[in-house]
Amino acid sequence: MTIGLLLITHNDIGAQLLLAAKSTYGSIPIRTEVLSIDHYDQPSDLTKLTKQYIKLLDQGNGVLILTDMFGSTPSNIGKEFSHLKSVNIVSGINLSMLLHIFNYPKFNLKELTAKAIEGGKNGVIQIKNERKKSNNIK
Amino acid sequence: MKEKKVIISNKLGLHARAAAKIVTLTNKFQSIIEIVNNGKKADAKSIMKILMLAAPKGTEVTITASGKDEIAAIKSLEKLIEAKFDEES
Repeated sequence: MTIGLLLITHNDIGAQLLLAAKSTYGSIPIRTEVLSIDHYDQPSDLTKLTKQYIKLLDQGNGVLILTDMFGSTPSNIGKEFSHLKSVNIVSGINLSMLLHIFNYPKFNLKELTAKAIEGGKNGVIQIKNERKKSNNIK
Repeated sequence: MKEKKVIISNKLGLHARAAAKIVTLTNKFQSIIEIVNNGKKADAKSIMKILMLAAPKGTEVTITASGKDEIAAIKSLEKLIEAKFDEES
């Protein structure tokens, strides 16, 4: 049995990343739900929804919550559940993070949390190559 | 340990979908499987490690497998790469 994954992001960031991950792998190996947050959403409603999603996703192995930016509303909503032993929260979601997580669907919550951070960080690279003369911008 | 040289011949090279197909395949085997590009080694069971090779079309890579099912692993991976990851018909 796998853990549950909950993406809490501004607007459709989470949904679009999930879509890209799905088209990469062909399917999603971990039960995943998305909570999209808009500026007019009430924090109390979001907390209630998050609670419901956690209940839905936790099949006994815990829930990993991924949010986009630390300190923003999605992360702050997630933080309200950080006291739960069965919930871990990681901010800074990107496609590398998601693809890396889906590479290890049988991992437990602690292991997948580490993989999320590793995948997210390792995906941030300055891309260098030999510069071609014809591509130089004056 | 078994090894084989293969040329990445699909248009997009070792991009995300191709790497995903590799890990889906390699994770079915018990052997340790690696892809080597220009001295850079990557665990063929990790999508991130494969993507870090940044191997475009035309790159010659060496695939290696070590373990009980190494022969089957090498053959399957070679077949997938040579079939251009079933991306092009």
